[in-house]
Amino acid sequence: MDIGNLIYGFEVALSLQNLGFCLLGVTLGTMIGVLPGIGPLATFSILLPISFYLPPVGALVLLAGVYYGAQYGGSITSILVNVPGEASTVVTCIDGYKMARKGRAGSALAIAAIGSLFAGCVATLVIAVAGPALVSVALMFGPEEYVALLTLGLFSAVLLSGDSMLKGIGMVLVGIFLSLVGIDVNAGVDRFTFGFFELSDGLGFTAVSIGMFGIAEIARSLEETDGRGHEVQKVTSMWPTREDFKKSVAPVLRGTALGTFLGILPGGGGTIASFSAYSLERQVARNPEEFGEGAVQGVAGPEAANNAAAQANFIPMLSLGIPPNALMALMMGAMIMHGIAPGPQVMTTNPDLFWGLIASMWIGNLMLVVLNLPMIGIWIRLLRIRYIYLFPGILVLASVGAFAESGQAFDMYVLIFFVIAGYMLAKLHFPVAPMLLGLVLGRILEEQLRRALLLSDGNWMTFVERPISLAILLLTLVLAGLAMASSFRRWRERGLADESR
Amino acid sequence: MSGLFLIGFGIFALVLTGALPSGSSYADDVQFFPRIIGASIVLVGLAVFIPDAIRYYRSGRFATGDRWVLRPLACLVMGTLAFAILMKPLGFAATAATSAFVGSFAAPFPSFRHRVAVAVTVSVLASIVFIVALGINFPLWPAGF
Repeated sequence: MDIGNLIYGFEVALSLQNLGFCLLGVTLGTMIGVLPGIGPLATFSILLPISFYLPPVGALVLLAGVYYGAQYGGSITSILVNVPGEASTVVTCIDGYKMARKGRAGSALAIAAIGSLFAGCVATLVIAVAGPALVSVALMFGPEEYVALLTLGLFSAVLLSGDSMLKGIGMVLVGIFLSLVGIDVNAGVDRFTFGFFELSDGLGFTAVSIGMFGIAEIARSLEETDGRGHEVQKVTSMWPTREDFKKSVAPVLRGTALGTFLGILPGGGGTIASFSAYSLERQVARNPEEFGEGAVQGVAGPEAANNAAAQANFIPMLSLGIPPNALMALMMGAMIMHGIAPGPQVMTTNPDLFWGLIASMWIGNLMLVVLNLPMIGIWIRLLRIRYIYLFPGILVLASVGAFAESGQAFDMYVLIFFVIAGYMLAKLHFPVAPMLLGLVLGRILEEQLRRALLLSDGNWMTFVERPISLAILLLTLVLAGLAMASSFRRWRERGLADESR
Repeated sequence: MSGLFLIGFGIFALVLTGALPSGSSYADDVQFFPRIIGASIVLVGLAVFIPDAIRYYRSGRFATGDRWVLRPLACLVMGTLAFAILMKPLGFAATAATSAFVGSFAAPFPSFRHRVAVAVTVSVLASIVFIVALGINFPLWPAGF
């Protein structure tokens, strides 16, 4: 890591404009983390076209702030209301809410925020060190390696997501197919456009994501809550006791290491990191029976892990141009919208963006601690607002997002189609996020696959003849084998249970 | 149901792909990749459907997915549609208010006045944020104003 680059990053991030975008991003992130009706994926989808009106570095600093800010905000609802604001803060409910019921809400919130700050800072340092190293490896990649890496990324996103594996793979494939709508760049032929010239450039990425994650999510949220507010636990002292602090040090360190590692892996994100950290803490605890009854380690470990993973997710996206999950896919979409081709060259072509973004994460994490501890009262008041007063605004925000991209009513019809599709898929228990990943990566996969086959005269063995490509494909196979074995075991157990009823 | 959806989508994809012109090399064969994807979707669909069918055969219960609650979905779709249709003739302020008002019927409100108040507030705030602060190029008022 070159210190000069980091200093340059801080110069970029500390400009008044970027500080403003960072503050706006982390505030919005905390807000959507606090509000259970809308998640970071929906917010990203809505903000994506609007971010086009901002300078490129500012837009990405803002979006990144929303992402890791949501991890902080999500823990507030988990601890005070027992409703996870984000999937990655589900485990925080278990012990965090119990602590709040015992009058230790302030301590739980403080440990969550301090643990997240530490994890965020360490993971950002890892990005600064590992990012450039990965870039030098990625520059050696040919189409074969990219095909292998994209396959690994797409499959492991499904395998590690925890949803039904087959349904997840189905959704990735549907997403890839939808990405093929539009003109084929090599042959100049329209594919699957049904005669609509508006589809020649492909399906509006924002319209699809806003439809499936923005509006369909409002519908599901209204179904579940009927627009009610929440009963919030009281917060007294905002400083943890010496004992809580002492008990949290080791879990925070372990959570940070685990979260950073899982965040770098394709498919790894805050959710799997926090669950893994919780189970690790239970296993190493001297008194595991305390877990579930308000153990501070059950808050410290998972909270550090989910924030570390959220930051580490940027490593494959920034250095390889391969998003490890749907949120990073949207982030990549933002880069493309601003005319920045994602990939290893970003570090040299846009050093202000690469290093500015990394430096802004440190600053953003510091801002979040201030937002989450001294200003907790604001979020508590927000939590008490009934959702019925918020969702009409979110609906208009989503519509503006879809309409702003092209100014065409056609995009709104595409949006409506995907609202209904998103709702239907959720009702059929399909995980929708893998579809978005397929939609972003599908065209790149096709392009690289055709290029590899063209260069090798149609020889499919080219993918196993090159050592890096072979190693990545073998890793994909091992992961797929492990996941299939566990999936088969679950299916058999369910079948036996059905039979015995 | 999930398996059948995937099988149906995969077959539809294969039919559409079959209508595309085929090329002689990987560079101009536009059918090549979508055909692989379409066939894979059918295979995954079968892999989802067959265990469900076996479970149905054993237990007599078929997984049909969750119940649809149409009111929130329909009102949100209507609100979005209102935005698409009214934006050009009515301008942003009136469109945002109408869209928020129509969409608000997705959930029960304490009174009609609350719905109107929320719609007006959303319109004013959205106009300030998007038109004034962000400078998005939408007409604020109806054409001719």
